[in-house]
Formats: sequence, C-alpha cells, structure tokens
Amino acid sequence: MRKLIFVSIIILPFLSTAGGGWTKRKGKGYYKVSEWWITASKHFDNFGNTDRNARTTIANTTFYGEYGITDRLTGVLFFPFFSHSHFDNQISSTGQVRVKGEQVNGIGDTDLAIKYRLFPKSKFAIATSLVLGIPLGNDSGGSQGQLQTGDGEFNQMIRADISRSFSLINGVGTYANIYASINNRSNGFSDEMRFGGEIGASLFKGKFWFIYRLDVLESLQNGNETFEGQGATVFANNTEFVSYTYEAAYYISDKWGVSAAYGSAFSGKLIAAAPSYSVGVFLDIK
Amino acid sequence: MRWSYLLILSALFGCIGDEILDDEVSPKIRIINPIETMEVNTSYQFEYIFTDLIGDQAIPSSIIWQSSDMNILTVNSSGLAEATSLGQVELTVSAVLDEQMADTTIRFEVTMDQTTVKENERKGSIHPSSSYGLAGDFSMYEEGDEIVIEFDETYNFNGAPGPYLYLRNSATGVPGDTDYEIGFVSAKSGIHTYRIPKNEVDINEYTVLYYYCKPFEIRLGYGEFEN
Repeated sequence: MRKLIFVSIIILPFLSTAGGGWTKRKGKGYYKVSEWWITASKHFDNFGNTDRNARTTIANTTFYGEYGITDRLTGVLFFPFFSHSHFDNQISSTGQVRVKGEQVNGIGDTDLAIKYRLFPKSKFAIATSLVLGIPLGNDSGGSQGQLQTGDGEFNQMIRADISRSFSLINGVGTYANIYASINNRSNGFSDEMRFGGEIGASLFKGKFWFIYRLDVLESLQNGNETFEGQGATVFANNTEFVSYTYEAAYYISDKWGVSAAYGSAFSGKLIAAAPSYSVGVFLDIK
Repeated sequence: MRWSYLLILSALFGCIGDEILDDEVSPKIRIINPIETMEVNTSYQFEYIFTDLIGDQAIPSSIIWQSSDMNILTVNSSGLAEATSLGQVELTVSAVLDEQMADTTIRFEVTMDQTTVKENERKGSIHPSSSYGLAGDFSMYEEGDEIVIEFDETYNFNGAPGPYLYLRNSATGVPGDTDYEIGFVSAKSGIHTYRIPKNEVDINEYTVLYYYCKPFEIRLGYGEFEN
C-alpha cells in the first residue's frame, strides 16, 4: 500500500507539467529541475476514510524536459534522478524505540513520452501523447519492502490534451487545458483512467504565471486483489484520487525562471492524506 | 558540487525523525492461574504477570501478596498459598515498578474438595479500529499440547497490507519484544483457527488479540478477552 500511495503522487507532477495541447517548435525546449516532497502521517484507506500511518517522507529531485523534434512532435522526459523515502522512528510514550526508522535512496521511475500535435491550424491546441513508464526505481526497499522509489511495473499511457489560450482581461494572458488518458499497467496492477484540467493566467506581460490544476485518477479495478502478499513483498492496488494543485511561476529573465507548487487531495483511496510541495528552476527556450 | 547538493538534500529531507506514539495505558497485574476452589490443608503456587505503561511485560521492583483472612489462607512473598481452614477468602497481589502501581484481587473458597482451576476457555470479540472491516467473535482454549484460537462464522476482514496477528497486553501502540506474534493473517471470512505450541505461551498470559499492519505500523483491530 505504501508503494502505490506514494508512487501515484510521484507520477502526478509529470502529468501536471506536460505542456497541454501545445508542442514545442523544432529545436526549442523547456527544461526544469525541481524538488518535490511530501510528509504524511495519514492516508486514505480503501474506503476513502483517513487512517494514520508511520510518518513517512518522500522527496524527489527531478529533471523535466520537453524538446521540439519537429514543430508538431515533442519529446518529453521526466527523470527523478534522486529519489528519497524514509519513515521515522516510532517512539513509545516511555521513550522506547518500538520501530527503527528506515530510508532508501536511488533513482525513481522515469517517464519517456512523445507528444504529437493534431490539427495545427485549429484555434484549439490538440495533442496526443504516448507515455512510457520505465521502472528504474526500487519497488521494495526497507526491511519490509515498504519503501519505494518506483512501482516496479512498465506502463504505457495514451493521453489527449485540448488547450486554448485567450484573454479575459486586457493584459492578462489566460489559458485552459483539459485532458484524458488511459494507462495500461503490468505486473497485475489495475489499469487506470486519468482526466483533469488546468487553468492558468499571467500577469506583468507574462512574467508571472498562476496555475490551478485538478486531476482525477480512477482505477479500472481489473488487476490483482487490492492487498496481496505478506512480509517484505506487500503491495496494494487500485489507487484513486481527486487532487488539486496551485502553482506559481516567475520569469527572472526571458528564459530563466523559478516556480513553486502546492498540491493536495479532496478525496482518495490508498493515497497519502497530506499536502505535497515543489520548488524548481526552469529554462524556457522559445 | 554533486556531493554538496546531496548533503543539502539529505539534511533537508533525509533525517529520520522521531514520531512519538500515543500508546500509554494503565499498568496492570493479573494472576494467570486463578482457581475456583482450594482444598484445605494443601498449598498452591499463584503466578502473576505485570504489564507496564505501554503494555509490555515487566518485572516489578516490589510484589506484595495479601490474604484477607490469615485464619483461612496464608501466603508468602513469592505467592505460595496454604489453605488452613474452610471458608471464603480474597487474595490480593500488588506490584510497584518505579512510579507505576497495580493490584488485583481474586476470590475463592477453601473446601474439602480437590482444588479446581478456573475454566481455561477464554472468549472475546474484535473491536474494529480502522476502516478495514475487521470483526468477529473468537475463543481460546487448550487442546493437547497446543493453544487454539478459533474464530467463528461472524469473522470478516476486508484486507490490508501486511496484516499480522499478535497476542498482547495492550490495545494500542506497536507490538514489542514481550508480545507474541501469531502470524500473517490470510483469512478473509468465516471459521478458522490459529494454533500455538503450549510451551511458547501461557493461555492466561495475554489480554488482547491485536491485528497490526506491519508496513504501515498501524493497528487494524483488536479484541479483548472477556475472561
């Protein structure tokens, strides 16, 4: 359970920065190094109620990059090159260490994608993506196999984005994006449907951006049972959530900028019940 | 540069902290071999278990045995009682460990008949404490050289990651060295049993059946023995 609860959240930042329906012009790119973290003492159980767990922290340092292969074809990479997970020592009220905390460090699961823009002359930016989830992370770290930097399975996701930019108020650039995807998972994990949307607005001639995202993950419940295994090889299945993210980005120069994000879940099943945070530095080559 | 970066990251996120558990309970002492009646002019060795503020078995620094009527029953400092005449009597044992104190009293009758030990079948019901649908009635009894824990048809469990069953003396906190791990829980519903060698556990040693999720370190449910 710990695996899917936190790994699902690891995947989410990728989806959130996938650029909507727009593709990069040939030779242009967007690159970002960011730090994302979450510390959770509670989780949503398989009924959607919250329950406590040993306080656990996950932190990922990731590289995200988009590169225009052609004007209509963009390559995307999401690479957590340093993923850390630990749970704290469990200390009794008498000061006795009941459970010694543990940690795992390593590379995280990586996503490689290509995005293709359909109907380039449409006023809507419509694109389809193929995302390959490559299990480079550790899916069973710690003495009980409960610390992970990846889910251990190779997945393939097809995603469609529709985006539109517009101006609501003079001088305020705005855009909106909606997406839907289906994720085919292996190793007995249930397939998933994901959909959501985001709306962004810029101020000061595009120097400052504020973005709000809503993401929904639904399990198709067609994998193995939710709980299987014992001891060191436990895993859970069928994570679901409705989550939201606030992000702000500021262009220090025409190309360089910094960003910060805060995310949490309205509801969930088998997912951490705690907010996540992210800060990053980006390079936008237009 | 790379090592400095990793050092900074480790400092920010890599420190394993301490999470203080809310696991305090009242210290308790129990007589684990109580009797219904005692034959006059015989002796009987009473045994006890003392559990501390977090339900772990501990050895108290002071133990006092007391008889309510020395004319009927005498008892020495190690719990060896001698019945000297007929009648009803109460036996109290009190324990002190640091600032923790506990006591308990049992009542029985000294008669002409052979000493009878209290029936060794114990019963209880699971009290669910998480959302994993754990419920059911159980009993514990001796059968040959085993202790049997049996769940009846009311048992249900929706499942959880890494569920294990323990015998403990506390309904909160994390199982420790003095608790007994029965094993992994695979049963989802209905009648089933667990068997424990008698030489590993005394049937009256523990007061709680405790379901625990090892990977998440949370209590899934517990059931206290009624007797």
